[in-house]
Amino acid sequence: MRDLFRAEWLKIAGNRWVAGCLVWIFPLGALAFLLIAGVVLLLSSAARQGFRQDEAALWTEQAISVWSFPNNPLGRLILLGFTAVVFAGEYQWGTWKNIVPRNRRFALVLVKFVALGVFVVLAFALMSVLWAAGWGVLAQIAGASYGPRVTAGVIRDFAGDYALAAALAFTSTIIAAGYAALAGMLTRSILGGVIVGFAGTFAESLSIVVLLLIGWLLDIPKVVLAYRFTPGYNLLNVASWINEKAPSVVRPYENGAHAGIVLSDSLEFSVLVLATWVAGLILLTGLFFRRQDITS
Amino acid sequence: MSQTVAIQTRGLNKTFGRRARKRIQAVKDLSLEVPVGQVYGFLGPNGAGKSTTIRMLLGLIYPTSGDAYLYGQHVRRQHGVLRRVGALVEGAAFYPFLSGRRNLEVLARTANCYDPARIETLLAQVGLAERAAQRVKGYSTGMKQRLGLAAALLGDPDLLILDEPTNGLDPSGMHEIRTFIRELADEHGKTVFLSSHLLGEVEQVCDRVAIINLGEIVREGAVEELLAGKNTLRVEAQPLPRAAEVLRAHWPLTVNETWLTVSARRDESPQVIRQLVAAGVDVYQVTGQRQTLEEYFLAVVQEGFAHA
Repeated sequence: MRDLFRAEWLKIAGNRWVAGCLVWIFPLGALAFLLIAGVVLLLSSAARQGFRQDEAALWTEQAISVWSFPNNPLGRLILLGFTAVVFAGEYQWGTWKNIVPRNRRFALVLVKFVALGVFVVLAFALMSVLWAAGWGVLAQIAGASYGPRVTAGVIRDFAGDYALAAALAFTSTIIAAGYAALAGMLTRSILGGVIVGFAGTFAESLSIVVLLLIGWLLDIPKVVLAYRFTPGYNLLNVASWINEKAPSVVRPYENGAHAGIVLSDSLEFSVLVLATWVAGLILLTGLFFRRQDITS
Repeated sequence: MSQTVAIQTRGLNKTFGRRARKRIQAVKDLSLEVPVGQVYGFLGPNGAGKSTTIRMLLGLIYPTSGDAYLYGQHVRRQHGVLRRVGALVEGAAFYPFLSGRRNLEVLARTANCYDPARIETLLAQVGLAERAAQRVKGYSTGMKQRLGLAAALLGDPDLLILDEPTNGLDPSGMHEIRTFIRELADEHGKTVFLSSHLLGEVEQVCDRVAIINLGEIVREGAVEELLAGKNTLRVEAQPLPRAAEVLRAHWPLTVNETWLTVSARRDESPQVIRQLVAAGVDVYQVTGQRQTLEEYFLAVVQEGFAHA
């Protein structure tokens, strides 16, 4: 399995143009932003004053904040594109016929998910280090404070939150990858993977509206509780547990007779649902690929 | 099943398309056996089902029904047997952004058989050592084909399945590959399953052949056996219509512009000449001709299309 992972890694990292534009763009973009901000701060006293007046920056928050990128629409779209290349690219290059006889199909799919996830997490880890350190330099230039002081307790808390945030980003990436991978394999096209994958992600975010509509049409308001099982809700809930140490609270019916229907779940519940989604999407992709004829 | 058989298929069928109107049966009830250590030619016109059969042997396409075995092991149920196989399928395709060497590394690692020394040996063997660091994007078709051969040989396989291996190669390259294929069988005991359009090439290199047409095997056997008894005599005589009339009573023949093609063995030529002379026909030349695999193939395929 290690060799198989290494093979996948060589393909992902070796496709420099794609990896550069769709993954390394995040840390490189962060670096570019920090450089520009640094120059502005060096040249403008007003900017330095403005920076000092803002809420005191914390390196712990700065380091964790970058992990929200895979969840925002643009970040998601870019990562969907990358996933589609990783999975559907094999059809475009006609290379499945070389690798399928050399290893089990399920292993080939599984290792793609793992390598892709690790690659993206590494890129974001690098970005978070750059961002936290760069923000420290900006604070230094502006003469602002940059806490908290490094103590064993701070490190312990930070490590836990950081690991959770990274795991959340990884999970979110794998779920998006699952959509794009399935779509890419069904359509055998990179563009198809991106479009259908993005449509899937978009449809998922709209699912609460659809559930409300179904509940209204069937006069079963509790149908909306099915939203508890969507990745979007659970990613939000885990993020809330990380940032606020409390569950996210979703009230589908603001007022009226059904205002009592509230979605609020434990961290464990959301982790379990997300794990099921990850395993389910990987399994589904693997099962689909197992039966697919490789004709190109 | 005996280990003297490298490939065996039993009633292999493949139908593409779910809707009745679009349904195409690419392979029909295909059964064949390829003995170990032989170079086996697999011939057929475009769309005959060659590539579909090869893909089913490699587990790339699932048969609609029937079974494929390699060294007695079921291809679908015992995937591990594919480790004994190296293949070049329908034109070599590689990751264009990786170098030739890196592509081989990726494939070797995928098969858990990475050995840098073997990769260098193979690159030298196929004449790509100097271009191995270059991205495949810049390779010519012939270079990709050579890299494909190297890729097929990565795991030192017992069985090589080669689909049009000389595509894109110049005549000297084709000759090299032919010699190489024969060496693999004669000196290393490998089995080679070779699909090619170049029938001269197949005739020179193969021990046995199967001809597939419209998804079915229409002929199968040792090359010598298939072509035996298929010899003809080219008879140049005047007047040609009279000569044809005389000989037709004894041998099947076809009349060409200035000569007759008589289906007779070379040792029957004195008899042919005697018959003609006795009938007062002037004989200018009688030459024995061996039917080539190409002629045989064309006759078989045309017969198949005529019956379809």
